[in-house]
Amino acid sequence: MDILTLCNMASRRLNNWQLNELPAPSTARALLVFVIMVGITPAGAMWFESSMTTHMLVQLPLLIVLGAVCYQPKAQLNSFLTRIDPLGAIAFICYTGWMLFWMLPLNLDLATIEPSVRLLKLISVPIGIGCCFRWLWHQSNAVLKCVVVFETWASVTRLGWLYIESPLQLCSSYLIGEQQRVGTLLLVISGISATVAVFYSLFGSFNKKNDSTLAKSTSNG
Amino acid sequence: MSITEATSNSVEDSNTHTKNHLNLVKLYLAIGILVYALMMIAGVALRAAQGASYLDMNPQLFYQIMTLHGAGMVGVTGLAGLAVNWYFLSRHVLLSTKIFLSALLLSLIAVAMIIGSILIGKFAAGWTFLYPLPAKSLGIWSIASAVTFAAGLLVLGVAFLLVYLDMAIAISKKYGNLTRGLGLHMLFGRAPVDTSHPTTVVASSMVIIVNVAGIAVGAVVLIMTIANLISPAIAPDALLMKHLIYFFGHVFINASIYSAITAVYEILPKYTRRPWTVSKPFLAAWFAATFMVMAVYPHHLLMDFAMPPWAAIAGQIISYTSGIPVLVVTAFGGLTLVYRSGIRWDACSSLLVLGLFGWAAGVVPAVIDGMIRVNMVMHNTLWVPGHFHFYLILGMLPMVLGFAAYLTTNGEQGKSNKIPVYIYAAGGITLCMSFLVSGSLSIPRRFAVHQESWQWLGNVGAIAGTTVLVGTLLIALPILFRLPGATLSAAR
Repeated sequence: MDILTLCNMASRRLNNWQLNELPAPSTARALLVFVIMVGITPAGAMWFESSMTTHMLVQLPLLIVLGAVCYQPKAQLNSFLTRIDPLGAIAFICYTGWMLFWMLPLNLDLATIEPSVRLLKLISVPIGIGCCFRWLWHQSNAVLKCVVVFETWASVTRLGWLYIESPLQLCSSYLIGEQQRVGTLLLVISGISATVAVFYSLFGSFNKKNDSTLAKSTSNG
Repeated sequence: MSITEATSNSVEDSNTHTKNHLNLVKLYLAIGILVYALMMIAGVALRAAQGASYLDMNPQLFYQIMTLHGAGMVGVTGLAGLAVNWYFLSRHVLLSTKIFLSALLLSLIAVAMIIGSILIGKFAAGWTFLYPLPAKSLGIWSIASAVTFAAGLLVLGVAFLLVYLDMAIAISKKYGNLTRGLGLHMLFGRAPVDTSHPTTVVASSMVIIVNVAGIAVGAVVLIMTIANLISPAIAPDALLMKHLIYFFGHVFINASIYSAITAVYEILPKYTRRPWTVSKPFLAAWFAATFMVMAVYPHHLLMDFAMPPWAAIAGQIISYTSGIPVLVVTAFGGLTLVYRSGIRWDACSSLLVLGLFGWAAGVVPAVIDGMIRVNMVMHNTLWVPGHFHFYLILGMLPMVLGFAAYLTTNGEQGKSNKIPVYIYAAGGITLCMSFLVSGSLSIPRRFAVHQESWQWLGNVGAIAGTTVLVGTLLIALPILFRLPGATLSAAR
């Protein structure tokens, strides 16, 4: 078996991975409520926020993923959203806006001190980032999806590098050593995700269109 | 709706779609040719200022014009190469005209930002924005203008990224994935070589792979540059920044040439009435070039004492070998195609063959500069501008102009005048030689004021540059006049 066949087999497995392999929305909802409740309670908040690593790389990704998985709008809401944001552009702005907001060290700091900002985090991250990402993914075309993935990857890389290079302690709640550790972890995540993305885009088995389908779609503009 | 009505609507839609493809390519070419001419005027002014006989230029203005010339030429070369590649790729896969138009609009926004930062903000750190120079202006330009310049490059990168993603998705939809577009299943797998697999798809797949990687690195390094400009306390490792800047810049400009080569693959066979099909050596060459184009940039870092020796040695070896695979296959393939074919020489065919020559011969100064011992002495001399002007004036631009001539004569052979090509080629060769001779005499590059004993070469360069400009205008003006009437279909 040659290397190309192996790569194609692995990427086919990746390609066949469907959203229905995710946990059911009801399970995700229960988990999200649990994570939010833990995040509100002093003991839970202390556990998540006591280190920058658990705060940025455990709690926030957990809220984003659960927000995205449990998002399943009712038909009425779905049609309303389709009417106001058919291309996913508003969702894209919300997604990038909230991402940028929670990347600012000042806001991360405030979330550890101010209960109201902590609550804002626990609500805005699953809805503003997670749900918006799901809607955006559902509505947008392939190019916009790629742009979202690309920009997310670039932001993680830049943030990781900035955390490592900055001689200043960016968050007053976390020491510089921890900031640099998170920076290193972000660069590791960036490296792994870049490898997966390159592997998938090079070897992924996409649906082939035959010439007649292509000609038909060309003629339809 | 009757079947006849439906069919006629479908044909109408298809015609409109094809027309849109062609109109967009024409728009890219018209803007490209005009910008090329303007940037040539800037280039002539720079050489004339170094010659000191025809023009006296304030050094501060010299560096602004040098930055404008570099950024402008790299940007327009990218756009022109993209237009050629997109035109021919749209014959094989379904590409989006909306995305292609959005990329043009974004590019124009980027150009406005870059020109504004240079002419209004007086940014003059060179198009390579080498860290930490943008932040060390000694009061000549403001932090805001340096940030605007870097942000302009970032917007330009986004514009190109959109088109490359669209091209990648289109190739993946039709051929399965990018490695199949590159023909690796025929090279390494059990599949026999399919001679109907388009050469343009192979070249496009390679260009997409390398340039998306380059833009990804650029997206990170430009933000780090902006972060350093806003907060100087954030001071990334200078050698790492240089590596990433050159990876981005070198891959981008190289990929532009590799994009334009599709014009040779697609048009030359029509003139020689011989097919140019894929073969195992052809696929192997493009596969090797995919890695080599990404790994060749270290010849710009051989003078950096902090470079680990193994990296410098690897850089030298790859610089030696990088151009060889595709160049040999393409130059040899082109010559065998032309030899005794009874080719009709007009502006289009002459320019395409000149492009092949420039691409093949341009590698020689590059290989010489790629030797560590030579590089230590020659890299900061005018030898290096000699090398890249060779590639761009005698390689890349003739391919673009040849393509434009083909488009505006609607593919009819013998309809365009080849005399201006001789003027262009004579001027181009003289200009490149003026740079190379200057380099061999150790005349430094990026010097606004030259010693008296060097100035004659600057004057030769200015006269040769003017000849290139005249040749370009003689080739381009008929093209621009005929462009609205071009009807050769872009889409299939």
